[in-house]
Amino acid sequence: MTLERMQIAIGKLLLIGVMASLVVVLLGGILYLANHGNDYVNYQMFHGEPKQFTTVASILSHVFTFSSLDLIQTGLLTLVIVQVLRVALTAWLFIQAKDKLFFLISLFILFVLVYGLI
Amino acid sequence: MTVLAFSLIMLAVSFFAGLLGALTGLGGGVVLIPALVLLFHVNIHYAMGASLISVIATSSGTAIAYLREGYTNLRIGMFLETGAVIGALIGALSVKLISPAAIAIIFGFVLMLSAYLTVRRKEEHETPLQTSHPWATRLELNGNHPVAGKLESYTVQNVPTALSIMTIAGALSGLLGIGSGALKVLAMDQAMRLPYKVATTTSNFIIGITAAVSAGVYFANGYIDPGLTFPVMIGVLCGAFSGARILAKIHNRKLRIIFSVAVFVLALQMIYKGFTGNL
Repeated sequence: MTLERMQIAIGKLLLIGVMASLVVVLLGGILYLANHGNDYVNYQMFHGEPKQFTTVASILSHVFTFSSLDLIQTGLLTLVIVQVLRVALTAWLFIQAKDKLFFLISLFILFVLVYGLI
Repeated sequence: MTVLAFSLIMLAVSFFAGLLGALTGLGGGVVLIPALVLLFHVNIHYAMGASLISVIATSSGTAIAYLREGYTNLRIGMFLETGAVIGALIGALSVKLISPAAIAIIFGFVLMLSAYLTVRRKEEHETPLQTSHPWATRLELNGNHPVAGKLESYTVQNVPTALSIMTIAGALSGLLGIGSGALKVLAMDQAMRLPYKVATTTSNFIIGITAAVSAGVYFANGYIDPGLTFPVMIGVLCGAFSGARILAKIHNRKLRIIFSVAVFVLALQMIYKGFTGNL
């Protein structure tokens, strides 16, 4: 597999990922506006997000409550997960191309990414 | 104000931020955060979270378009990312330790630097060098790029320097919630002496990874608010895509300068706000 085709494969993954994320965010967003459109908000103060929006495990476990904000947060998290997948794909493509060094480089990046999420 | 009104306003503001970011080549993040903080008094942490998400979204969405042109260099990108992700982790973890006012001041200076880097004359490097830095040869970083229909090869210089700049770029990305595209292009264009389009497309290709590292930390610290980020992400995406289309039609350098001056003014205001402690 040539470098060019590897890049295109990664590019396609990114596009699909961003579209998936967009769909979920839009779904959640519209639901949010429908249910909470007339609530009042103030973003001047920083309160920090409630725990359920802050870890991967809790965001994903709340998705089936179909709360609009959880849906949005899941969509946003999807964007990050897509980056993890794309680095994993890159590592896999490099090992397929028998490029051990860049396989290891990709693995390292994957490690840092996952560490940041946990 | 109500959620609905606020969301619609955020959508519009983000659209223009994404548009301006695409037209100036600065990216949405650096324009978005001052807009949200200065005009709408959104807390800077929430603004940073929303910006970071937008950076990931925009770069993911535009990657394939640039890839098809044939300038992106995957190896250079991934290699430089090793530095960037370390920087990003450190930067993101440091946000908690630094006051919002200090972040605003740093932000202002970085914004000015980015604007300057983007506007200055970009001449193609004169006679291309024939040999690459030994690391570049060892890692097979050299590549080809299309020039007037044919493929021309290029060499890669100053690899350690570029890696260091990338690490700093990553740290700033994590600290400020931006993409640091301008700095990454600096590393590749000036240090490695890559052809300009190779630098810009490769930078765009890998920016999402850097931002994703920081995003993990931002989620954990509660900086990413779904209610705010949802209209922002959508607005920036639409604005960036529109900007890219317009850019294809107008190559007017004067326009870029005008926009960059506007960005410069925003930068000054951020610094001012930081010093007067209104954050």
